[in-house]
Amino acid sequence: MFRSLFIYEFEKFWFKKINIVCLIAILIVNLLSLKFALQSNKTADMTDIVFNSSLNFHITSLQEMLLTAFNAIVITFCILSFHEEYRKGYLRMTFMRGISIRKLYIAKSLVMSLNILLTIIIHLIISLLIALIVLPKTSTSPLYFKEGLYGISDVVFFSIKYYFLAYFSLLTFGSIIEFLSIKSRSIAGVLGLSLGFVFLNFIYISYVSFLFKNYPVSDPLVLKYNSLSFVFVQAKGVAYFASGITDVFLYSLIFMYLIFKSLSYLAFTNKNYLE
Amino acid sequence: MLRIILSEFGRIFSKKSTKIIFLITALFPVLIFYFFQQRWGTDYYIVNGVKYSLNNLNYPVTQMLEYNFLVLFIILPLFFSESLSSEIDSGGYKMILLRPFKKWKLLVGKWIVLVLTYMSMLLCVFLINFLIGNLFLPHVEFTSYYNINEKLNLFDSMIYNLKFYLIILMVHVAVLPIISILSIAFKKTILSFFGSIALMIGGMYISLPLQNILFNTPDVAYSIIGGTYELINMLIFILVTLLIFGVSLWMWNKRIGSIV
Repeated sequence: MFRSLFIYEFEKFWFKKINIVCLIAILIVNLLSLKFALQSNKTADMTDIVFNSSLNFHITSLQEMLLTAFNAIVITFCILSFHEEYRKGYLRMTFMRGISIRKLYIAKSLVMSLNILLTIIIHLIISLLIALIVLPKTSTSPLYFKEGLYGISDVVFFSIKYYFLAYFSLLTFGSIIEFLSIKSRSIAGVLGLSLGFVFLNFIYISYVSFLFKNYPVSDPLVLKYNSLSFVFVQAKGVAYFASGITDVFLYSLIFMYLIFKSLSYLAFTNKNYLE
Repeated sequence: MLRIILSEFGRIFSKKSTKIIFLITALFPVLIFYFFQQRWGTDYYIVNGVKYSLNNLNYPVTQMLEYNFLVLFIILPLFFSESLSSEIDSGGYKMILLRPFKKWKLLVGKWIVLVLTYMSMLLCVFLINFLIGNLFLPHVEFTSYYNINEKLNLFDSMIYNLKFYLIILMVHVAVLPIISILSIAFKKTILSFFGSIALMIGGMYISLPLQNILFNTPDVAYSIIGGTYELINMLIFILVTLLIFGVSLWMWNKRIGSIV
């Protein structure tokens, strides 16, 4: 039963044209990143972190687009998968078949996680291909928050950690948007609340930087407070984690993910919906 | 036409989202003042590397960078797509189209109302900034602005401020035809919202003058009034905006009946 529910959700996801547009958008996002990369390469030295090569373009392009394009894609996925079906009453049709609402939520969450993973993987493949074709090929590359130049094995290890936390940050953001999608009555409401949440995160970061203005920016205490803002995690935390400076960003994401996923689960499985 | 406009006004102001957006735009200058002036003690602003002191006369034009970003990339796409796409998507616009008016007049009425509503939001922001400037900033009788040699008094300064806000308005209104086209093409609120943002950001990557106009709008406004801006860029921007207005009107007139 669960298997068929999962497949049904998966098919439904791919049936929606907007989701496919989002995946096509990744190619455009990569091309825009490439344009920016070529511009930066004109003035940057090969040892600079802003210098883009075949070894680091997949990291720099994700760093550039994680906070903007990828979050927008996650918002779109969540609105279509949760808000539209839940609020417009389409799910009532599904429940006429005696399907468990809990199992449906789990199936939806799994499909969402899988598709966000797919988005990240597509980005990785496209950026690697573009970098290999267009950007200069190098055997070493600088990495975020690390001194010196690193070989291919270090870059691979860094990339795995970087992509893992980037993916997890998108899942966490997705769980927040899921909750807002279920609770909000209109799409504009979800969009407004989601962007309001992002905006509040920026204010929080500004407040933390003001509060700890006498501390160095990479002080453990400052990073601990900043880790509560998912915007900071996406902007810098992912790189801090990948460079091995601290794991606090992973723990904070797990904490946020569990809270918002539980809230979404409780909101989604609320029996009042079926009445 | 007047009846269409009044009806649109009624519908726009009956929406909760319009009231919330109005509230956000009104509260934003207060928030900016709290953080920048009260918390961080910023008492100057910089235009193209030239530093100017803040005072009661120039304050309304100096706090627009963050506002510009928030409004251009979040508030306006949300406000316009909520008004244009959501009515088409929900099917509610069918009821409006049933009335014996020409389709293009309905869209023009909507545009007029949206622009007037946004204008009143911008005016509200100006008045709040003006009030903050007069209540909390150092009082001066004359002030200087970017690339303007003579010192301006209260009256001339007000004229400068209003010109500045008019340029901001012109740039911001450019979002409207983009949303109109996307609403007709895709119908879905989410697509017109993210589509307009993607188009603006994409345009910024492709064209440097467009990047300046959209991202550094206040600096562009200072340069235009100060006479140092290459006006051809702004003229092209306005012409393209008008062209998109025309195309969206044509598309709306042709397709609205079949898509609602």
